[in-house]
Amino acid sequence: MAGSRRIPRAPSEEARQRFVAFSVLLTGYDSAELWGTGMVTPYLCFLIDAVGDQVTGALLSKWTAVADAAGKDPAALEQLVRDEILADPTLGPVARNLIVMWYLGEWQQLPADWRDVHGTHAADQTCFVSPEAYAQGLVWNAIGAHPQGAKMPGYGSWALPPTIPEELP
Amino acid sequence: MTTPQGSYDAIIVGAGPVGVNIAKVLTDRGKRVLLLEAGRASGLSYDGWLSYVDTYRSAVMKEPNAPYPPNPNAPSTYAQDVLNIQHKIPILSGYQVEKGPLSFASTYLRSLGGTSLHWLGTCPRMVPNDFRLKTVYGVGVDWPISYDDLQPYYCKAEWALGVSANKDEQGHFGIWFPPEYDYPMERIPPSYSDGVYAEGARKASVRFGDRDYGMTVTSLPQARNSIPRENYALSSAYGTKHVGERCEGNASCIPICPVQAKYSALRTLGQMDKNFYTLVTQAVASRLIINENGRIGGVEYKRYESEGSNQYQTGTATATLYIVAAHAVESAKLLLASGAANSSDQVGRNLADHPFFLTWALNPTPVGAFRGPGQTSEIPSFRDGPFRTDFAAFRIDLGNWGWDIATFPPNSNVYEAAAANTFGKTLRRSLGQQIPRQLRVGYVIEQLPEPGNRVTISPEFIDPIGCFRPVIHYNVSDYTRKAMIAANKVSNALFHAMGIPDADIYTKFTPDSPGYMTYKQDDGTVVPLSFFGSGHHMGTHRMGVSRTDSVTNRYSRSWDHENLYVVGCGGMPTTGSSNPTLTAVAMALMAADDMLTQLG
Amino acid sequence: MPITDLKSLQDHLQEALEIEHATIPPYLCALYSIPEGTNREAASVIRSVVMEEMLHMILVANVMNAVGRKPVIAKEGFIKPYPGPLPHSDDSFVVELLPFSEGALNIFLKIERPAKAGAPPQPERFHTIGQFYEAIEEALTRLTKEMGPSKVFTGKEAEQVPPGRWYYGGGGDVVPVTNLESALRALKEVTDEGEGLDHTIWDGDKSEELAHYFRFAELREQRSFLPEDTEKSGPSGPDLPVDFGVVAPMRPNPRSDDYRAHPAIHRQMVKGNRIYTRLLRQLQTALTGTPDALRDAVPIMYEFRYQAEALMRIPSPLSPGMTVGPSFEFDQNA
Repeated sequence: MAGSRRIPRAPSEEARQRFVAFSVLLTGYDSAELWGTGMVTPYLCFLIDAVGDQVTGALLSKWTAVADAAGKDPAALEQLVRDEILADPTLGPVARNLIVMWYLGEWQQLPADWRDVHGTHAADQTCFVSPEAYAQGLVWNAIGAHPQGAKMPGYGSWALPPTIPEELP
Repeated sequence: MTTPQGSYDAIIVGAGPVGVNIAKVLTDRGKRVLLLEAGRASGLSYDGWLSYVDTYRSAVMKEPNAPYPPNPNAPSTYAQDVLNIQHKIPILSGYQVEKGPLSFASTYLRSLGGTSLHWLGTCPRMVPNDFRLKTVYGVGVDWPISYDDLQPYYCKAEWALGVSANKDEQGHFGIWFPPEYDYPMERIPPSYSDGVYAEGARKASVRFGDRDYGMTVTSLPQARNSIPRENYALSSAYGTKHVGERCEGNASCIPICPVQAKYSALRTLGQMDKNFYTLVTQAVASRLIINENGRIGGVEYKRYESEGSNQYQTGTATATLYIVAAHAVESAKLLLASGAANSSDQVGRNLADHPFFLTWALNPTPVGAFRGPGQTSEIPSFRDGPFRTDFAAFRIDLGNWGWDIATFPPNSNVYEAAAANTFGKTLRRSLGQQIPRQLRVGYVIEQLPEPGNRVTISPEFIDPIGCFRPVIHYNVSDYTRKAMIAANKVSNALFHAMGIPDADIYTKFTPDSPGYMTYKQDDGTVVPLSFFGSGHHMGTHRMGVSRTDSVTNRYSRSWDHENLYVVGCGGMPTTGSSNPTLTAVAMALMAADDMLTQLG
Repeated sequence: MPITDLKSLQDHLQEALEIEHATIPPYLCALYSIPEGTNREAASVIRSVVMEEMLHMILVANVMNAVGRKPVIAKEGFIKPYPGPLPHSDDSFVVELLPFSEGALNIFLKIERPAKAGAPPQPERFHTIGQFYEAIEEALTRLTKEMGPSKVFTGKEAEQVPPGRWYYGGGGDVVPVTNLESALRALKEVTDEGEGLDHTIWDGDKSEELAHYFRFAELREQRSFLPEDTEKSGPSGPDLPVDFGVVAPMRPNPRSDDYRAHPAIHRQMVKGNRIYTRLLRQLQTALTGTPDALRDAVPIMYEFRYQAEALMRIPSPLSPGMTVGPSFEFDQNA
C-alpha cells in the first residue's frame, strides 16, 4: 500500500513544479488551488510508486517539452497534450489516471495491456490514495458540493440555493 | 473477558436499536439485563468511530457496510455480494445465500449498534390502514393491533430515537397525534431541491382506476438532531462532548454519520445505567435451550476472542426472560437453529423488503445535488388509497444525492470523462453543468407477505464458527410489480410537471440493472423493471391473533414459549411503505411493558 | 476614568465585542494549522474555546441590545490588525496570528490570564479582560441604581438571540437579558469561562469544564488537570501529548498585500477575506434584531474554515518552508 515505504519519498522541487504545472492543465484548477489541497506531494509520490521513476520522468519531460513548444498559445498546448501525451500508449493511460486522481482522490489500476508492456507495481491497485485524498477530490468543488462524509457544510446549508464556484480567469 | 454473572432478569440477544431500547426500559426499572452482541464493540470511543469514517473515505465501493470491516466470525453481507448484476442464482459467495429467483438485495450489520450504524434514519409512522389491509382491501393480513393501539408507543419511540418533525405536516391518511404531544425536535430544514419538486408536485396529477391523484411534498420525520423543543435533552456523539448536536450536512448518513447527529443505538446505550446491564460483544447466540416444560432454559452462545481466528468458547447464560432482537434474518435463523417458537411454521417465512424503485432525470436548472441528508422530504400521496386492492402502496423519497445508486455519480462522470480524454476547464465546467441538476426519486414499495419468501438454514451453509448462514428464497409478486409500473407513471407525471422533457428523463432498465425483472401487461407488452433493496428486512417472525399462523402475540411474546419474546421488524405482519425501524422500536416498547408485567 | 453614563456604557460594550472578536482569528489560525486527524485533543480544546468566544460575542450583543445599542460588526476597523495588542488594553503584550505552537499558546495564556485577587476594574487600558468586564459590571449596577431599570434596559427581548436554539457545539448557553440580574449573569458567564470562577480553574459551579486559561495551560504543560488541582498546583493528571511537528508552518501574521506579486495566491487570500467579511455581515444581521440569521452563519463559518485550511497548505514564496495562511482582513467588495 502506498505510504508504507520505509524511506519516505522526497521528490525534487523541480519535479513538483512540473507536476503541478501539468496538473493545472489537466484539472482546470490553478496552482494555488492545487497546492491548497495538500495533495501535490502525496499524489506525485503515489505516481512514482505506482508506475516507477522512469515512466514518471518520461511523463514530466514530455510535459515540459510540450509546454515549451506551445508557448503562450493555449489552443496549441491543448492540441499538443492530446497528440503527444493522451494519445501516447505509455503516457496516455497515466495522464488519464492523474485526471481521476485529482478529481476523486482515487487511483485506477492501469489497463492490462499497459501492464503487459511495462510490468506491474504493487501500488498499482484501484484504491483511494488516502482518506484525505478522498476529501480533497476536486469534483466536489466543481459541482458546488462537498465530499460525502467530509468537509461538512453545516446545519441548514442544504436549504440554501446551490452555487457553483466561479472559474478563475 | 466479560463473563455474565449469575442469572439475569432478562437476556437480550442483539444490541441494535430494538434490543438496546428494550434494555433501557428494563434497566430504568432496576432490572438486570445481559446484552449479547455477535459483532464487535464498535463506537464505544469517538476516536474509534472516526477510524470507521476513515475506512469509509478510503472505500472504493461506498455501500452501506463499507465503513465496517468484514468480521469472519459474525459475518455481514456487503452490497457487492448480492447486487447480482450477472444474474447468477444461486449466489453462494457472500454471507447470505441467495436461492432466488431474485436476489434479496438488502444488507444489515452485525456490530454493536446494529444496522442503526448505517441506516438513513427515516422515521415515518405507518398509516392506520397499513394495520388492516385484509379488512379494508382484501389483500395480505391484518395486524393483531391497530394504529390506535401502537400510537402511544410511537410517541415514546420518537422520543427514544430523537425524531425531528413538525406534527402539523404529518397527518397523512389518518395518522393522528395526541393534542399535547409534539416531536422532540423541529423538522430538519427541507432542501432547496425539495422546493423545486414541490413546485412541480403542485401541478402534477395521475389517474389510477377512476380516480385522479394529486401530489404534495412534505418533510420526512427523521432521527437526526435538529433544533430541540422544550423538555427534550439533546444527545450528541457517544464518548465525546458537543459533537453532533445538529445535523451538519455530511451527506453520508448511509453508511455513517461522522458526528453521530443521526441516531444509533449507541446513544441509548449511553443513557443507560451501567450498574444494571452487562454487555458482552463478540458473542454469537447459537441456540436457545428449551426445557421440557416448554420454557426457555438458557442461551448458548459462542464467544470468539479474535475476529481473525475461528476459535471460540461456548457459554450458557440464564435468565427469567429471553428476548431475541437480533434482526429479522438473524432472529429467524436462531429460532430455526434451536427448533424454537415454530409450531406455526411461520418462522423465517413472509420475509419482505420494501423494493426500492428508482427513476432519475435532469432538472433544467441546478438543484444542488449532494447536499444534506439522503432525503429530507417525501411525497406521501400514495401511502394509501383504493388502488391497494390492485397494486401496492408506495412512499416517494425525494433524494438529495444526485442520481445516487442509479449511476454512481460523481465517480462515474469522472471516469467517463477521463476515458474520453476530457480535461481541464472543459472537464470542470461539464461536471458543474450536469451533476448539480441531477434528480433521483425513490419509490419505497410495499410487498405482501408470501410464505415462499423466507429465510431457511441448511447444514450445507455454515460460517467459520459453525453457525448457520441465512439461506434466502425471494421473489417479488405482481402486486408489487404493478406498483412499480404505477410508480413510473407517477414519476413521469411529476417530472413533466417540473418542466422536464422526456429527453431529460434518464430512467432506463436493462438486463444488467439491479433486480432486473419484467412484468407482462394485459395487452401483452413486457415492461422491464429494476429495483434495489431498501435495507429493510421484515416479516420473519410475525405477530398475530392465533398461534396457528403467527409466531408471537401482540406483545411479541412467543405463543410456544411463555418466557420468550421475539422482537423487531421481523414481527411485522405487513409492511406498508414506511421505513420500519420506528415501528419496530414502538413494538419493542410495547413488548417491554409486557415484560415488566411478567417480571413483576 | 470610570464609565459615567449610558452612552459610555454602550461604547464600552461595543469595545467588549471587539475584544472578544480579537481573540478569534489567533485561535482559528492555531486550530486550522492542525491537520485533521492529528493532535485531536489539542484541536478539540482550541475549538471548544472558539465556540465559547462566539458565545461571548452573543452574550455581549444581548446585553448591548438590552441597553439600547446595536452592535456594529461588519465594518472596517472591527477586525484589529495583527500583530497588535488587544484593543483597549494596556498594550502589555502583542497578539499575533501564528500556527499552533508554544509561542501561540503563550499568547493565548496572556489573553485569558485571570486577574489577580483584588485587581481593580479598568475601563481603559485594561491589564486583563476580566478587569475590563468588572468596570462594565460596576457601571451597569451603578447606572441602574441611579437611573432606574426602565431607563437602562430599553431594548426588546425579541431582538436578542434566544437560548437553546442557535448556539450549539460548545459549553454554556445564551442568556436572555431583561434586567440587571440577567445582564450581570450574562457577563459573569463570559468572565467565568475565560479566567475561571472565583479564582478556581473551573468555569462554573459544576466543575465540568476548565476555564479557557487552564485549557491552554494543559496544552502548554502537555498534562491534564485533575479535579483537585488548582492554579498553584498546576496540572497533575495524565500526559496530554502534543505533536508540533505535523502542524502547518504558517508564515506569521499573513497580509494579502504581501502577495500581490503572486496572483493565484493573492486570489485565494482575497477569497478567504471575502468569506470572512460575509460571515461578519451575517453575524451583524443576526445580532441586530434578526437572530434566525444565525442559522445561515454556520455554513459561512465552515466555508471559511476550509478556505483557511487550504491557505495553510499553500507554500509561501515569501518564506521558503512556510505556508501562506488566512489574513482576516475586512473586504468592502465582499
